[in-house]
Amino acid sequence: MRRLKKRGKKKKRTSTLVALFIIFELVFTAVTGPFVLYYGPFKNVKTTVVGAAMTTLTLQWLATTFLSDDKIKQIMKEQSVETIAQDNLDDKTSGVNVENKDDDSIERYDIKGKKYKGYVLVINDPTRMKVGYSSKLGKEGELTSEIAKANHATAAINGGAFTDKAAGALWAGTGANPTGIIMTGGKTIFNDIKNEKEKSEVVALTKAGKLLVGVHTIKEMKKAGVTEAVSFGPAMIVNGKKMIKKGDGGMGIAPRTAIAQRQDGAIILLVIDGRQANSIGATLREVQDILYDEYGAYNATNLDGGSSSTLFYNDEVINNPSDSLGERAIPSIIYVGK
Amino acid sequence: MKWQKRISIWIVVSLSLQCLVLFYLDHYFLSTDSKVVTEKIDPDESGKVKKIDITVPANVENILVSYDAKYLSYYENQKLKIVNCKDGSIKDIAVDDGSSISFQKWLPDRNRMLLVEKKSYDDSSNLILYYYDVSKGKKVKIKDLAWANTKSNVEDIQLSTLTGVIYVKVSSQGESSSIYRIDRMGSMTKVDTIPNFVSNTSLLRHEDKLIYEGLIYNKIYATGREDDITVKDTEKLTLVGSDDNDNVYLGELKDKLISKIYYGKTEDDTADWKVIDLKQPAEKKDLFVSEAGKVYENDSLKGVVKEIISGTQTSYKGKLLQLYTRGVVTLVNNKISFVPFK
Repeated sequence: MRRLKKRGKKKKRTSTLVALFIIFELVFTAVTGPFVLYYGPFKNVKTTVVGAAMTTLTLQWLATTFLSDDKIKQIMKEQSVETIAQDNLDDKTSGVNVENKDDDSIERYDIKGKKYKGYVLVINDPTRMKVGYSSKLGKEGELTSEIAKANHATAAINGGAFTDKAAGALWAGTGANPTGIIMTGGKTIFNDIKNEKEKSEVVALTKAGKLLVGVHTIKEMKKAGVTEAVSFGPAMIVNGKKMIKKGDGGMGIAPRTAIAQRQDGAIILLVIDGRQANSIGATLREVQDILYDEYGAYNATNLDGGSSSTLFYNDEVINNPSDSLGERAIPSIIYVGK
Repeated sequence: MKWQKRISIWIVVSLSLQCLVLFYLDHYFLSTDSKVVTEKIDPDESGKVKKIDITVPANVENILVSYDAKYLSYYENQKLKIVNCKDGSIKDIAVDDGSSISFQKWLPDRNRMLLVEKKSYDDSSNLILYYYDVSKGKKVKIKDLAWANTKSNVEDIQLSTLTGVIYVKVSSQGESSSIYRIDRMGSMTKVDTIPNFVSNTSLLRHEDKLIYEGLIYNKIYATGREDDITVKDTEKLTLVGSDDNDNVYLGELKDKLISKIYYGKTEDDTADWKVIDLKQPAEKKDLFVSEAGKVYENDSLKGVVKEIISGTQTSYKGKLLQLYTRGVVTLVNNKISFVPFK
């Protein structure tokens, strides 16, 4: 009788102990967690959390409660992308010499990192690059593949910026309304940059086949002989120099689209899949490094990523766009003409 | 064991767990990964195949054709199969153990399907939404829709490939229907409908606005709007459909038959909407609104699909399966046949 009682007591004590242990662990971790995160040695996690929190409107307290404003500013600054002006595109100092005009070949590569899958096309003749746009601009966007087919394109990537809103619902935009500039064949299709001297981020190609990246005014573009243009950024490689040396570029991990040019003039198109189990996406830093280290890019810029990221080649979309309904409608593309 | 000692061990456990997780995130998940394996892909030179006749087994159910009629799907022995109409090859859609596909829908402008898998347990079931990309042969989970009782089923899916929004209607016998909205970022919310019982639904293409019909009183509503959509001098309305220009088509219901169709945009006064008079009152199941805004009526006895406004008739043999962008799909003696619109 006595023994049995004792055993029951012991059992009871163990279960209380387990419960106490769990409660303690939860409370202790909740209290100390933020300090380990913000003051521990885990720099990548810290900058990602601070960056993610500060770019929202309602969750800034996640960072401001534990870190001083100066400290936050410093962290955010480390994430920023440098900007330098691209060399004069008129003369030979631009660093790019178009060597392979009339070379109609395209090379395709599939790339694989630890957390992403990507697709690369190298187009040897840059003068084949054109900008295409939705035939229903202002009313609705079209798919990258639709615009590409309408232009008899061999290959295409999604292009420039647009507003992603529909009747107040975020993310429900139809890709109808571009922002910045859309120019093709020397004609301006859309432009909301009122001042010719206003600097804004563009992705443009001159008649001679040179790629313009980063901030340029409309005036500069005219002078350089730009015939094709959309608006997006940031520039990741300018004049053969990497612009992201610290941090990850400050835009997190997502599907990515980028365009770059080598010194011999060849154009590199890169699309990385994201928001998927076997490919979560890449940071701007990773995109920059791939283009620089693996493909020898001399100038490179980011294009619209996320749901928009699409690579079309030989009559099919070769990447896997992240939306569950597939390719999304957008206002503009950059394509390879016949 | 002394309490001090115990607490110290617990503290060490917590701190080392935190450090372990953060270390993993820091060094693997968030570390810059620019090392890639590159593989050169050479162009595929395989030739194109001629279009062939498609014959389906006698016991198949629920034949559905994709928007451009390049693929069709059906159930055979409770398994979903997809047929490539170019070469006749058949693919089985694999499901998890204990699950079955309970609903499927082709997208209106691309060869992709939305599928609902139902996983059944003793007294409950789980509904899971997937997409199936035909060109890549890939089935990917989108969302767990809802835990429900075994009788719950997805009755309808409405979507717009332009806005990227999906609406899924789940109903259970005798219980009110639930409608879920999923956006392109994958976040899901439950939609508050004015009546609890909803029958027909239709989603506008350019706007995130779902049009729905109350099951009991045949009133028409739209999300984001408090009053119902009424048409003067009509008592009961039924939702026939909507077109690519966001026009909504409402049928005036008398003795369960439709004699007049009113159509226009929801922001306009219904007094300004256009009217189509039907010569003979028709059942809702025989009326179709195409993406281009044409209204078709099927006469299954005569084997004729008539475009109501122009009166153009397309004759067919056998049983009408569905309309697609360029014509009608019929089944004649287990053979699928495509008849273009006249």
